[in-house]
Amino acid sequence: MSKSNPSKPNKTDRRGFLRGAAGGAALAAQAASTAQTAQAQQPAGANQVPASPAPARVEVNTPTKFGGDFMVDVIKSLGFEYTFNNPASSVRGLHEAIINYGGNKDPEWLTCLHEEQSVAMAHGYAKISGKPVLVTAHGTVGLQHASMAIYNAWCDRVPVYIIIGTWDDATVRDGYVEWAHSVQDGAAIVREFTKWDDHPVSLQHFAESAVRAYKIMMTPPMEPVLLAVDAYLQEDPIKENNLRIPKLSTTSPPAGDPNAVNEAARLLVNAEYPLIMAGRSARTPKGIELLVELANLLGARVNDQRNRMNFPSTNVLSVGGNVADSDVILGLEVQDFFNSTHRNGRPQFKAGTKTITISALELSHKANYQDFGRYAESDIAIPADAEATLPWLIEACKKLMTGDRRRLVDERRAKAEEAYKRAHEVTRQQAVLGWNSSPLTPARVSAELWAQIKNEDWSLVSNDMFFSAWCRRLWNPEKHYHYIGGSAGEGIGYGIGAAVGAALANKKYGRLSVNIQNDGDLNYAPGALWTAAHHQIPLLTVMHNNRAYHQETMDIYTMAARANRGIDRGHIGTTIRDPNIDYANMAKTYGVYGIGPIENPNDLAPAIKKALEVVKKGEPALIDTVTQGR
Amino acid sequence: MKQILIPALLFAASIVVAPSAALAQSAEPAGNVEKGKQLYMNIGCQACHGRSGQGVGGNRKLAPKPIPLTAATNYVRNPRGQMIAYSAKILSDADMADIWAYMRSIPENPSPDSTILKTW
Repeated sequence: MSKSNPSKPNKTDRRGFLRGAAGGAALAAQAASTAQTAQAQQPAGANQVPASPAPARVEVNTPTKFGGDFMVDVIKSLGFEYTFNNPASSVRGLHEAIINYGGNKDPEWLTCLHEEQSVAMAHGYAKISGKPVLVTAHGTVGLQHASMAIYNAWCDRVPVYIIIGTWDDATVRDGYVEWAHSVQDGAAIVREFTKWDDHPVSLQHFAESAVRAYKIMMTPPMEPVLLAVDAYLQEDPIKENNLRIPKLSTTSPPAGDPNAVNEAARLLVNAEYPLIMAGRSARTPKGIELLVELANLLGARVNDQRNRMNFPSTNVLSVGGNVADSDVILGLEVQDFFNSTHRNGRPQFKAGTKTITISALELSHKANYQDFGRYAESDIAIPADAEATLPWLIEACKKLMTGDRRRLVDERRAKAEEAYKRAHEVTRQQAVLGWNSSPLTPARVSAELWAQIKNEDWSLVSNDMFFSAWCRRLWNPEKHYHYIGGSAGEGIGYGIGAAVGAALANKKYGRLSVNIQNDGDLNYAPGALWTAAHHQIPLLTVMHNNRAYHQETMDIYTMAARANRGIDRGHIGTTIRDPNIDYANMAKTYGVYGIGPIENPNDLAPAIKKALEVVKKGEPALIDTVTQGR
Repeated sequence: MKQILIPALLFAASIVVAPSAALAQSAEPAGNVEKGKQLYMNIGCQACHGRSGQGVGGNRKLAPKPIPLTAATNYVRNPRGQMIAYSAKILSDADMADIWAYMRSIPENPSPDSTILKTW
C-alpha cells in the first residue's frame, strides 16, 4: 500500500502553501534587497515606489489553521483519549494535525501495523474503559483490512469511531495511487455492520456529523460508526467562516415501558424457579451490581453467557440453572435467546413457562448479516437497554415481594448454595484430569497462572472459550474488567489486538492484564505485539499453542467418520505444524520478551514467574505454552 | 467463520458404568498399547477427548479406568448425542482393542489436594 504522495501541483493546498511559503520568502527577501539599493540612489524626498506585494500565492495561503486542525478541535471536544492507526496518505492531513496541532494528546496516536488490529485494539479498549477510540484508515484498502474487525465490534455491540480518507475531487487526484485509494461511497462495504455513516462535504458539515456520529454510537445498542472525509478538506487552509462545534447531547439509555416492566416483575416474583440469562447485560460496573441485586432479591440462578462480565462467579447463584426446571426465564441482552432456550429447534422449557426479554438489540436492526439469531417468541418483549431497565425492574419486584415469597427465595438460595459447593468440587476434580500431560492441558495452565496472579489486580483480556473456559472456572471473576468476552463475530484475528487495547485501558489503573492467545488467531496479525512493545503496554500473553485450528480439526474428523471413509487425514489443512512456529522468537522479533516453548508442565511455573517480572516493569511478555486442543 | 460444532468420540457414560469396569477388565482381550496410542493420536480421538483421555470441552473423559471394551465398542458403533458413528470399516474391532489398551495404560491423575489446587 502506498503510504504517501503529498505533491499536489496546481492546487493551493497545505503542501502547496509550504512550498509557496518558502519560495515566497525568498522572493520577498530579494525584493527588499532591490528596493534598498534603489532607495540609496534616489534624492531625498522622492516618492518611494511601493514595495511589491508578496506573491499572491503566499498572501492567500497564510493560514493559521487547516481543515485537519478544526477536525482535531471537534475530535477533542468528544473526549477521545486515543487514536489507533496504520498511517494512510488519505488521512495524512488529520494525522499531522493530531500529532502537531493537537499535541498528540487526547487523542494520542498509537501506531498499529494493520487496520484490522487498529479496530480490534479499539474493541478491547472500549470493553475495559467503556470509552470509544478513534481509528483512521484509507477509505479503500485500509477499510477493507479493517472490515472483519468492524464486524466483530458490531456483533459485540462495541463503539468504535472510524474516519476514512478519500480524494473526492477527481480533477486533482495526483497519480494512480490516489485514484486507487479513492472511493465514491467508502462506507458501503461496512454499512451493513455499522450503525451510521456520513461523508461530510464541508468542515461545518464534518463538525455536525462528527458529533451526531458519536451520539448515535454511544446510544445502546452501541455499535461502530464511520465518517468518510476528503483529503483536501483535511489538508487545505480553512476557508469557512464562523465554524462552530455543536454541543454533544448525551443520550439517556432507553429504559423499558413501566407497564411491561411491572408485568415482568409480577411474573418473576411469583415464579417457583425463575432463571436469569445474561448476555451483554452489564454495560458498566453498575450493571453487575444491579444484576446481583435482582438475582439476590429473587433467589434466581443466573446463566451468565459471558459475552461480558455480568455476574460474579463467587455468588452462589452463578452456579446456573436448568432451563427445563424454570417457569419464568428472563433474558437480558441475550444475542440469541431462541437457541439459549431451545435445542434442535424445540423448547427446552416446560409448557406454561413464561419468557421475558429485555434487549436494546430490538431497537436496531439490519438485514444482510444474520447475527441477530432466530426469532424469539417472548411472552414479554421489552425493547430497551437492560442495564437502564434493571433499577425499575428491581423496584417493581421489591414492591411485590411478600413474606411467603421471601421464604421461597431463601429456599432457592439454599439449594443453589449446595449446587455451588458440588460444582466447586467437580471443577477441582476435572482440573486435574491429564494434569501431568504433555502437551499441557488448559486446566493446568490456568491453575498455574492463577497460583501466581490471584493476589494481583488481574484482568483477563481475552476469550478463554477455546481454553475450555478454564480461566473463568478457576479464577473467580467478580469485577467488570475480570473478563471482557470474545470477538462476538467469531472472526479470527481479534485476540491479540483486543488484548493489547484492553491492556492499554488497564495500564492507568496498574492492573495485570492476561491474554490467553490462540495460535491460529495470532498468525492473522501478530504485529499488535510490536504495538504493545513500542507503546510499552504491559501485557502477559500465554499462548494456547495447540498447533491447529482445533475446531476445524474436530470438524474434519467428524465429517470423515460421517462419510465412512478414511479417518486418518483430518490433520490435513487444519494443523499448524511441520514446521512448528516458535512464538517466543516471534515475540522477540517484535520487541516483546518471549519464553518457551513450554512442553513440560513442571517448567511452566518458573516461566510464568519470569514473564510476570517483565510485565510488572511495564512491558509485554509472551509465554509459548504447547497445549492440548481444548 | 468458525462454527462451533462439538463432535465427540464418546465411548459411553463412563462415570455411570465405571463401578463395574474393574470387574469386566480382567476378561477383556489385551490390545497393543503403542499401536493404540498411535491410532488414538492419528484418527481424531485426541481432538475431542484429549491426549490423555481426559475429555475436552465437555466431551466425556475416557481414561484412566475406561469402561469395558465391549461397551466402548458398542457405543462407538451406535453413539448418542453429537458423536458420529465409527463403523468397523473405518475403525475395526482390533483397532478399538488397541485404543482401549492405551486408555487403560494411562496412569491415575493426582488428587487436587496434592497439587496447587489444594488451596483453591
